[in-house]
Amino acid sequence: VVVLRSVPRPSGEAAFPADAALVRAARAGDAGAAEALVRRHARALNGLALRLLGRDGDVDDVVQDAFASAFAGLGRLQDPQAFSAWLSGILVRLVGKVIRRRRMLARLGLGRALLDIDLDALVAPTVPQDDALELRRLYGLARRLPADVRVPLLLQRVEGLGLDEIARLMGASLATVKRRIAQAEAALRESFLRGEGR
Amino acid sequence: MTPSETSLGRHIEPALDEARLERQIAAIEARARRPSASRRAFTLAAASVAVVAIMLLRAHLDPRARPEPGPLAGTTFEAPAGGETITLGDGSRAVLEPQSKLTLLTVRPELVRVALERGGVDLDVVHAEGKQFVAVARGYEIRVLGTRFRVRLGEGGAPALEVKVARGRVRVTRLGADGAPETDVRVLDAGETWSTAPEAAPAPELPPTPAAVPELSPMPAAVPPAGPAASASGESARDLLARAEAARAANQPRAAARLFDALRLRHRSDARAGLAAFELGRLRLDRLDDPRGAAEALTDALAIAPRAPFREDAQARLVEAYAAARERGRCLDAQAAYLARYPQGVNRAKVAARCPE
Repeated sequence: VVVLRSVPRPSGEAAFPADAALVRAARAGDAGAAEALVRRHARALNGLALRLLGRDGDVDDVVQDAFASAFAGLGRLQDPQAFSAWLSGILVRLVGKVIRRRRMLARLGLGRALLDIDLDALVAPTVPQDDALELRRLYGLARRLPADVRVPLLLQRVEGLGLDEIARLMGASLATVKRRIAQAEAALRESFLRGEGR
Repeated sequence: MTPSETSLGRHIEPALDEARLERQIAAIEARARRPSASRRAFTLAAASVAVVAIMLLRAHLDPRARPEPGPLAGTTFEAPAGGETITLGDGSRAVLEPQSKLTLLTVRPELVRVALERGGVDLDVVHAEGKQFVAVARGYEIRVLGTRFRVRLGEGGAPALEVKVARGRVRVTRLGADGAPETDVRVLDAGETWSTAPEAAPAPELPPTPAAVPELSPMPAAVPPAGPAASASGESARDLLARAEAARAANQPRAAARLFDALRLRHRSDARAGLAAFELGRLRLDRLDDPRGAAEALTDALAIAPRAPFREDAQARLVEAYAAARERGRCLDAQAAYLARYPQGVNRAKVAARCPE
């Protein structure tokens, strides 16, 4: 017979506390709150990383870095309820770094395969045909684009975000985001005219 | 950030199961302990708070990191041949069957969460105001407030998971790939038993490829070669789906159903699992005269892939399955759910006419 005794916790805690409460508790060193934040946001963050990177290989690294950076900078988060958006911004900027690093290595003739996107793995056979076609076209082009153009394109076309939100996530001005998306659109048109992704 | 229901991103979801999440948590802890030089330069103070938080987090999960008795979350009990009884501080008891394996995920005054990994366990939970007791097993969560119930993992032809309530009431909820509650499956009262379908049969028992069955019509051109490695053990979701489709095209509904079943059970985080469960439901309903089995598979499909394109059809067929099984209460629930979600749905008239007295 094993007798388990547990440490009392303050009562009156909501069953599903808001992010703000968890952030405040995590800042104070509450392990349960940190765990809850990771578990609550892990799926969304893994999804965002996968969709921006286009391959599963680097997802774990980027997600772990994003959480580690977020916890390290928790003291700088002004609005604790905005944890999710703040965390997403950290991840988006990390993804940009990863893509830039991959492209640089590829230019040096190293790790060219890291730029590849396995479209069959990414776009499941169950995806409706029109959406699958669109995704293949987008990712077919995205793998050739620089990070500064690729990330806003995918945030807009795949995540369905507005320009303001993209600018906030990327830490860029609205004008910059508009210019980069226009660049991406032009590349998309060219790729379509060449018959790619069809 | 989750993609909207209309964005393309909804089609691309990560395969994130509990094991991968645990690995990520461990790595986050390691990275928080060893911040990079640039990060360290300006975030040392804040990082130290986070490191403490993450270390404490791990202390909850890793019993080796715990210096003294207290919350024993993370502890795993493997019962010897004679079984084992675990008694919690509040008097709740877990009686493990011989050779069973149980892990304490969370032990707090307001929440006890245990995971049954092997065998069976009798749980006798002492009621306390505001306290929750949750058992997790094979992708389901059984949540109680003061009761006695048994959870059992089956093998071979036995149900993969069986829950039997001796006293009180429990709610069974299917968990998503990330371990979060996703869909309520059943509420069980005292005396009631609920179980899932048997675990997919071991490889040799799986149906042969359609090509190997003498009475088959010719193999459709799209069927991939099966060869001697036609056993489903370790077979990819893509191959299982291809074989299932081939079996169905070859007018072998039972073989197709078993392959769809194997796919959804063995590759639950794969994008094809929801479709496989849906197709299994259709086969059981339309071809195998098994409306209860169809209802189970369709419920599973909705849980695995809640935003799939076939959702409306699955909900409509669920009504049909419950009607055919003469389960009027569930039929009415499913009917109400369909009509609420799809007031102008293409199956509206058909669904509204179901669930007769």
